Amino acid sequence: MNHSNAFSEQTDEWLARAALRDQEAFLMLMRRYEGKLMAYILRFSGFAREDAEDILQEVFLKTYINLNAFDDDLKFSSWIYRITHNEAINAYRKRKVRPHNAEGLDEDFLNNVPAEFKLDHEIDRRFLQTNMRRVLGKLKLEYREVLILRFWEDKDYREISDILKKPMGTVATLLNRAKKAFEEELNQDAKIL
Amino acid sequence: MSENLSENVLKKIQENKIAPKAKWQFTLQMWLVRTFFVISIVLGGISFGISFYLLQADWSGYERVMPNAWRFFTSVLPYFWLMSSVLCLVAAHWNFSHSRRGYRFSLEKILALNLTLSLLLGALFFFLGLAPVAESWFMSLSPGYRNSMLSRERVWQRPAAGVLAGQIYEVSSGGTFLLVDLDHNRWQVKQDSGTWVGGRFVVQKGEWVRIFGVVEEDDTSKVFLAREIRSLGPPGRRFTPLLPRLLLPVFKTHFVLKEKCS
Repeated sequence: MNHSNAFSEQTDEWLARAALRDQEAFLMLMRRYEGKLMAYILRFSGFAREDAEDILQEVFLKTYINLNAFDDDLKFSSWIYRITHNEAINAYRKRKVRPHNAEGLDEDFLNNVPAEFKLDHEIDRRFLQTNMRRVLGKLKLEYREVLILRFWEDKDYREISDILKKPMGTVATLLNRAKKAFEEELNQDAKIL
Repeated sequence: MSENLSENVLKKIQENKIAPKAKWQFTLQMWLVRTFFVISIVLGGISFGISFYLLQADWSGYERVMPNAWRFFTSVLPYFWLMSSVLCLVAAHWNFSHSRRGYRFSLEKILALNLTLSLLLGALFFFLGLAPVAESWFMSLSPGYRNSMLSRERVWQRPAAGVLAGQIYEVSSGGTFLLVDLDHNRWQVKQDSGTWVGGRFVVQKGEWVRIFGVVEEDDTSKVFLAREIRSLGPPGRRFTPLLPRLLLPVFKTHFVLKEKCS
């Protein structure tokens, strides 16, 4: 389709403005973010895939309805992640699901234990597969969200600040605490097991 | 993940004729938040201004009515206006942090900004002489507040201890005047050559004063021999506003200004 070709080269911000007049532009945006946001919801919440899809649909609908609220001072990516984060939080609080070894664990998630974490033991891949989700699930919500955004969604401090609507100083402090908490939990689990 | 999630969402948008909310709604919301922020800062400034004004209570002679300066200070603290200032700061903080970029600032920075703005505005309000005007106006609106302010003045109403406060309603010759005290009792106040009159006021009808002296024995009426007479001042009379003084040649003022020749 000529439309799709024309849109595929445009920035997210351009598409967001165009989507106010042309729904095809919005479709392009959704296709760009579908995979990323689904992975984020799954990592963050521990929901089953079907539930995550429901949340993602809600996210896209809210994004469309609030398109005029998007302002250029923000990256579109940060803005849609913010909406996704809020929807995931709301759903999480309603259902109070504790993340455990849910379906849909992605390889990236398991492979990307950051080098910055200080782990006591030679923790092998199988151990990580079995326990990382559980360890993350034990952490406070505010720790989990910053860890996932920083190390798995690869967001910088400014982006995390814009997504969570917290000052950058607070984000830095939370990240430090989250890392320590994650290391302690994982090392403790490794000792026990 | 179902392959057609994006297409399904688009279909839902088209079938239900879902449309983006109009931009004006978000613009209005943004301006409402900003407006309420400004209002909070202005009200906070007014509250601080009036607090500065009320703390200008003439402290001289406090030791005759209170055991120490701290007790006197806590009795004249303008609690209502200080609480109002705090509430305005809280409201300003809430509005700021809910603005588009407000979340980027830490709590300490937002509070510091709000406090600084309110204090500066309060100081300006005070030095322009608007605080007594605002306080008088508020007093006229709220009998409850008026009563609480009169209660505050009552620290100077202790005739048995030699401290009397009230309003002059008649001045006779020889320095004697008649006074209605804060308990609505009428007094005849006598002066003699040793009586000291201080503060920027004149002993005249309508003036609010506090008097240090002694109660004279008299079976027929209450008589007070004054040793010192100082202004008590209702709001609006206690402090001579700067602005009307500056504009005196041009505008009429409600405040009577007479220099006391010492």
